[in-house]
Amino acid sequence: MFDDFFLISLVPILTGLFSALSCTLVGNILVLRKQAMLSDTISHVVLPGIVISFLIFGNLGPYFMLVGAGIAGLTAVGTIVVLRTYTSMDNSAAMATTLSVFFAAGVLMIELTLGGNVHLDVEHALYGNLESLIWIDGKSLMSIFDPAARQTIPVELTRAIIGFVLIASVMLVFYRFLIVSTFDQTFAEISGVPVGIVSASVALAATLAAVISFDAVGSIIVVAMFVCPPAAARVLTHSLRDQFCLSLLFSALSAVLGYAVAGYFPILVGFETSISAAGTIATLSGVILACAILYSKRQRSYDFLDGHQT
Amino acid sequence: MTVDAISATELTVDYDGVTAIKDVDFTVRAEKLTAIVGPNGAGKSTLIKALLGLIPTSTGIISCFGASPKQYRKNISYVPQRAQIDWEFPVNVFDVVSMGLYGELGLLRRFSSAHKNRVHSALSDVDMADFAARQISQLSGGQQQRVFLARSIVQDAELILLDEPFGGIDAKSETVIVDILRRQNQNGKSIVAVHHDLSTVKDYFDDVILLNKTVTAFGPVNNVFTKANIEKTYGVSNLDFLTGCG
Amino acid sequence: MTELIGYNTALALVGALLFGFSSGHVGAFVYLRKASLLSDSLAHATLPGLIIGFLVSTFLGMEEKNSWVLLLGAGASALLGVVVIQWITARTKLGFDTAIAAVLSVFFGSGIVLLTGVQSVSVGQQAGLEDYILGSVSGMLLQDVFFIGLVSIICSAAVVVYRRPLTAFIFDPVLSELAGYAQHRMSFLLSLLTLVITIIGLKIVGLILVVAMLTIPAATARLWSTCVWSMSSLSALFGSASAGIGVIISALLPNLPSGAVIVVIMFIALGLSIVVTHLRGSNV
Repeated sequence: MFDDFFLISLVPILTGLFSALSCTLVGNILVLRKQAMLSDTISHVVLPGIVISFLIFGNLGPYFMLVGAGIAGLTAVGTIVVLRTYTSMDNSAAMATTLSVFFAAGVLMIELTLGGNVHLDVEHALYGNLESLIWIDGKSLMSIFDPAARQTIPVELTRAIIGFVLIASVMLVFYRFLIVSTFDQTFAEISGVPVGIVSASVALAATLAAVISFDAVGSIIVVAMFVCPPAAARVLTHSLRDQFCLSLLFSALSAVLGYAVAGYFPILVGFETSISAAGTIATLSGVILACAILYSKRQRSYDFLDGHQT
Repeated sequence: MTVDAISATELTVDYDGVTAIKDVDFTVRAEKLTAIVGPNGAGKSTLIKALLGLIPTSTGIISCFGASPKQYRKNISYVPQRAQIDWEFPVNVFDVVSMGLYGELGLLRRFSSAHKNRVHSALSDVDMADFAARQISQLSGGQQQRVFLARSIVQDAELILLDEPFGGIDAKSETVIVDILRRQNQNGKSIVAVHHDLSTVKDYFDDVILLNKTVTAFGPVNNVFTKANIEKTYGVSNLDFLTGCG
Repeated sequence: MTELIGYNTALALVGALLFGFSSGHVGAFVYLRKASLLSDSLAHATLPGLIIGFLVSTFLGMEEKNSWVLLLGAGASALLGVVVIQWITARTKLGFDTAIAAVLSVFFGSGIVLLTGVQSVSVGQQAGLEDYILGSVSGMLLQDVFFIGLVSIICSAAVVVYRRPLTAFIFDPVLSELAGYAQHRMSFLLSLLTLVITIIGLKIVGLILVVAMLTIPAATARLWSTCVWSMSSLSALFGSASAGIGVIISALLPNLPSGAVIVVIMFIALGLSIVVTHLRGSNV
C-alpha cells in the first residue's frame, strides 16, 4: 500500500498542502473583512478564464492559465461593478449573478469545445483532480535529489509552491497596510495607505490561490480552504498573529490528513474504492471548525487573557 | 502672528450629485478649540471629508497651516465617529494606537522602541496606560473613544479633527475626553470637532463655525454664538434655553 | 411539438416553464431581501442529503428513478445547513458571510465524498446523480413533472397570498410585526419557499445554478417595474420564458447541461434590459 507513495501520493499531498496554505493565507483577510463569499465568486469565475487559456495555450501553458484567470477575475469585478451601478442589485445579488453566469459560461465552453478532454472536464471543475498528479519518476526518497527524476514532477506542484511563496511574500510585505485598511478603512486612507490597490491586491491574491487550487480541489471546495481554517483560528484566539499561525496549521492538517483519509481509509474498511480527496479535505476542515467552535464555547465564561469573568 | 490652522475660501463640494456645501468661507485659528455645528444634512461630515482629502472639491481652496492639501496631510490626525469600527477585530489597545504610526512607518520601517514609547506616552495622555493589552471589544464606549484619541495623539500632528467625539458616550466619559482635548490644546495642538450638542459649545470651545450648506458665521464663541446666528443656521426660533443668552 | 423534440423533452419543458415561473416569483422576494448568497449556500448544502437519499432508496429496493426520497434527503440536508448557519452566527463572532461560505463548501465537499464513494461501488443507477448538480432535461418522467408543477403552483400561490406581509416584512420588520405578521414567521416562510424552490429546481437547473433562478429574473424585472406586484409577476414570466427556451436548446444540443444554458439566457435578457431601459432613460 505504501510502496507507491512517491509515485502516487507525494505530489498530490504536497500540491494539496500548498494550495490549501495559499488559500488560507488570503482567507484570513477575507474573513476579517467579512468578504468570505468573495472566494466563492472568484473560484467560480476562474473557470472560464482557465478554459480559454487552455484553449489558446493548451497544456503547454500552465502559467498562462494564471493570465487567463487573472483576466477573468478582473472582468468579474468589473461585471459586479456594472451590475451594481446599472441595476438595483446589492452586493450579494451581483456576486450571485456574476458567479453563476461565469461558471455557466465556463461549463458551456468546456462542453462545446473540449468535450471529454481528459485534462479539463466538468468533474474537474467540481472537485479537482489531485489523484491524477502522478510522478512517473518518483521511485523513492532519493528521487527528490535526482535532477533527472525531478523533471517529471507534475507542473501543478511547482506552480502551487511558487504561488504559495508569492502570496506569502506579498502578504508579509503588505501586512501593515492589510491590517489597517481592514480594521479602519477611512483611517487607512487618511494615513496614506492606497486602499484601492490593497483591495485589488487581495482579490488578485485570491484569484492566484484559486487558480493553483483548481487542479487540487476544483471550483467550489476551494472555498472551504479559504474560510474554514481561518474561521476556526479566529474563534480560538484574540491575537492576529496567532490566528494566522493557527489557521495555517489547521489548513495543513486538513490537506494532508484529508488526502490520506481519502486514499487509505476506504481500503482499510474493506472497500475497493476511492473517495474524493478534495471532498475529504473540505469535510475535515469543516470538522476542525466545528470542534473549534465547540471548544471555544466552553471557554466563554472565563477569559484567560485578563483573568476575569465575561 | 500665527498661521491659521485651516483656511477655506469659496469651498464647494458636490457629493453624489447633490451640492453638499457651497461657497464656504472660514478660518480656523491655530491653537484653539473650534466646534463645527449645524443641523442634520448641513454638510459637516462632507466638510471634514473634504478637509481630509477624502473627497474632491468642486471649487475653492483649502490650506492648512499655509500648506496645500497634498502637503498638509501629514499634519492632520483624525478621530472618526464611533460606529464605523468592527469591535470584534482581534486587536488590543496597543495595536490600535500603533496603527497611528503606520502612515509614518510605511511598509518596511521597523517598529522600534522609540515608537513603542510614543504609543505608551499617547496612552498615558488619555489615561489608558493600564489597558494596553486589553482587547478593544472589552472596553466601554468612553474607553474606546479615548483609544482612538490616543491613536490620533501618537501621530503628533498639529491639528486634530474629530467627528462627533461625544456621540453615544456617558457624561463622565465626556468630561474626561474634554479634559484630554484641553490638555492637548495646551500643548499647542489645534482642535476642530464636529459637535452636536449646542448646550455645551460655549463651555468646551473657543471658536465655532455655524454651518448649514454654507457658513452662517464663524469666529470666537462669545461673538458669534448668538441666538440670531443659531436660529439662522437651524432655521428655527426660540432657542434661548440652548445659548443662555438673550 | 412532441415530434420535433420528443416526449421527454416536452415533459421537461412543461416542468421548466412551471418551475421558472415560481422561482421567478419567489426570487423577487429573495432579491428584495438581499438573500441571494444565502440561497446559494443552501443549494450547495443539498448535495449530501441527495446522495444519502439515493443510498436509502437503493437500500430500500425502490425503483431506481424514484426521485421523492432523493429530494427529501436534499431538503433535510439543506435544512441542516440552515441550522448550522444559525449556530455559527449565534455562538461565535464570525460574520454571516463566513457562516454561509463554510456551510456551502463543507456540505458540498462531504456530498462529493459521498458521490465519489457511491460511484466507486455502485453498479450504474447513480449515473443520474450528477444531473442534479448542473441540471439535465433527460430522464424527466410524468410523475416528476406533476410533482414540480404542483409544488410550483403552491409556491406561487403562497407568494401571491402573502405578498403584502412579505413586502412589509422585508422593508420594515418591526412594522410588519405590529401589523400582526410575526417576523420569524415571515422569515421562516421566505426561507421555506427558497428551500422548496431549490429542491424542485435540482433536476432542471442543478444545485450550482439554481441561485441564478432566484436572482437574475428578479433583477431584470426590477428594471422594468416599480411596484412589488408587477416586479414579481414579471420576474415569474422572465424565469419561465428563460427556463423554457433553455430546456429546448439543451434538448437540441444534448451535451449542454440545461442549467448552464438557462443561466446564460437569463443573463442575456438582463443585459438587454439594462441597455434598453438605460437608453429609454427610465432607470427606476
